Amino acid sequence: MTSGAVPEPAPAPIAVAARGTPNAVFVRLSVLSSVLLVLGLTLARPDFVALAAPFTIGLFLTILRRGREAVDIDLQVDRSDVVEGHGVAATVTVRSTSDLDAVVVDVRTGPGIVLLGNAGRRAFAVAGGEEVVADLGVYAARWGRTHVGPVVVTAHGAGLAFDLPAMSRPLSRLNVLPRGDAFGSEASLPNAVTSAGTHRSWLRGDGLDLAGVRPFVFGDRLRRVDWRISSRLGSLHVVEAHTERSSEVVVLVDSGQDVGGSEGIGGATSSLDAAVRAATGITARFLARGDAVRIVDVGTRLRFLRRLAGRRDLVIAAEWLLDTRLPTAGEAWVPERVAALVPPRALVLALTPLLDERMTTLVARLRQRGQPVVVVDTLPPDAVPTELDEYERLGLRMWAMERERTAALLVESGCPVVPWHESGGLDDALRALAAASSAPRMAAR
Amino acid sequence: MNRMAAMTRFRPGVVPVSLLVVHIAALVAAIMVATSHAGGTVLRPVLLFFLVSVGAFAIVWPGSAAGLVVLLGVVTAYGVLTSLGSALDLAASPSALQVLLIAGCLYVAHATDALRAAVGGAVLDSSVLRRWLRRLAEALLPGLAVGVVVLALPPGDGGSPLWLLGAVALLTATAVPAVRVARRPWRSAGQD
Repeated sequence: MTSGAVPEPAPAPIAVAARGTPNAVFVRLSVLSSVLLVLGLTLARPDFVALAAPFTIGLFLTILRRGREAVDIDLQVDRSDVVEGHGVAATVTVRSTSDLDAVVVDVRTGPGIVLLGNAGRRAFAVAGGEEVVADLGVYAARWGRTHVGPVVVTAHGAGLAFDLPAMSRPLSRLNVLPRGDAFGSEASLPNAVTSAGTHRSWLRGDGLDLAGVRPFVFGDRLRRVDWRISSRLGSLHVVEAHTERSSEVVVLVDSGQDVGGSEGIGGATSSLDAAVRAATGITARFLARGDAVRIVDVGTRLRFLRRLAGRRDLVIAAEWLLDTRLPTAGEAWVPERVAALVPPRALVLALTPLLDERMTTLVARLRQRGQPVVVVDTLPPDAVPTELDEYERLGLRMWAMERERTAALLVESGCPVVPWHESGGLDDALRALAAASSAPRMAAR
Repeated sequence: MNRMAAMTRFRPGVVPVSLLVVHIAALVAAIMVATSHAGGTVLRPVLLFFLVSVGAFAIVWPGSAAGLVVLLGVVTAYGVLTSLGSALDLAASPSALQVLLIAGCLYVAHATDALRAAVGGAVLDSSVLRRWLRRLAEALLPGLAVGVVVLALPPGDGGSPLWLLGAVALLTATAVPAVRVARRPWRSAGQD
């Protein structure tokens, strides 16, 4: 996945040119040398002089090595967008005009970023006139807007006895786009609404799928006339076909709760992680098939993403989903308002852990007006605690029963509830919905 | 010249633990040898208690003032015990080898403390250790050589000008750099 966004210009390297300031090491060398030598001379004790000798020579060499260091550091992150589960080439470059005995690079990172080897703090020596490039080994573990840096560099020269001023390199912003879960549905959608596409519409018109044969009426195209049937029946008959249309899909992402651990790719998956990755996978699939997709984030606040069509819009969807998070404050959404905004005849896929009563109400409202809805249960299987006492087990059992009852009521209203992690569950549900939409219905007369 | 730092050379935590062991070993060796000739007198446990207590601070917080205090404490203990040896009826004064051992251990403890303070718990590239060992050897080996020379000369009762000359030279070597490094507030920061 690539982004069309223009990357931020890389900030210029930070340079420091200064003499190091003496630190505790220098003070220790000076004090021990002076004290021992003065004692040796005043008390006429050569053993004190022998004790002082390494410190004095160390101090002398330290002073000799002290120069005017010109150091510059640079943080390079090769991209501003990355899909989670991938690495980012990020390096810190340190250049110095004189020897530095220890350059300590302290790399701080935002949430969802892992440094390989857990080496957030690393040290190396830099020879004068040399440039050292340290690979930070940045791995994007979880989706979100995050950052690499700031990088704080402290340098010690001249036998570690002099410190250069700490240099801080500002952070580089990084968008970790969600990796869409695999979803390869081939099921036809219940309602085809737009003018062209791949789904078989129940409207009859131009298309390839045979729908039936009927007598010719004024306005039918001559090429639709089936001459063999017409000659057999003695009057003109035309072949009818199903039109091929696109569908519109509305993905409801319930970000009101986030249940379970969130450890990024390869680790525990929370309900919000599952919802975002599922939304990405579903959006990618339907956009690839030529359908239109809208995404609605229903948490404590309410966010809408405009109608998307075409593969290119997948990046817009992925970037928009980055802002899906547990809100701390915002307007409380009401189901009726969301239901009014969902286009009629669009397929609604509600990605929810089924923990918010408003979400259940919203689904019920949509079903009441005949909208095809599938609830995708994003509650991770390992989110339920296992080590419980007697009362907690009782409470958990009651909660599980209530949740099962809610799911059963939704199924009864014609809304399938499928777990996201169950392979093929959503595909089966979509086929069932498509079949139900074409089944004969009892008409009220 | 461009060099890619081999950051995976050492696993995190291995080198800091090794440095910690070296730091403890050097301090303990210096303390034990410096107080060894106190024998079984009551003075030794008192000195050991004081030095080990301060040494523990120095090991837990490298780069702190405790590092200086414990080194000065070892030197003071050595000085007191050797000066008052006859009055306290102690064993014979330490041999030249023991003095050199104390000097070496004190300097190793000092250098290890400096490195631990500088790098903290960072993952170390081998270049840091190589440079540190070189700096250590550059000061320690000539220092011990000077110590051998000084200790091999006749005792300094004022009649041996050679060791006195060496001591003055070392004192000068200390004083000159100290004057060079001393802060001069009347000079602007830009000039330095």
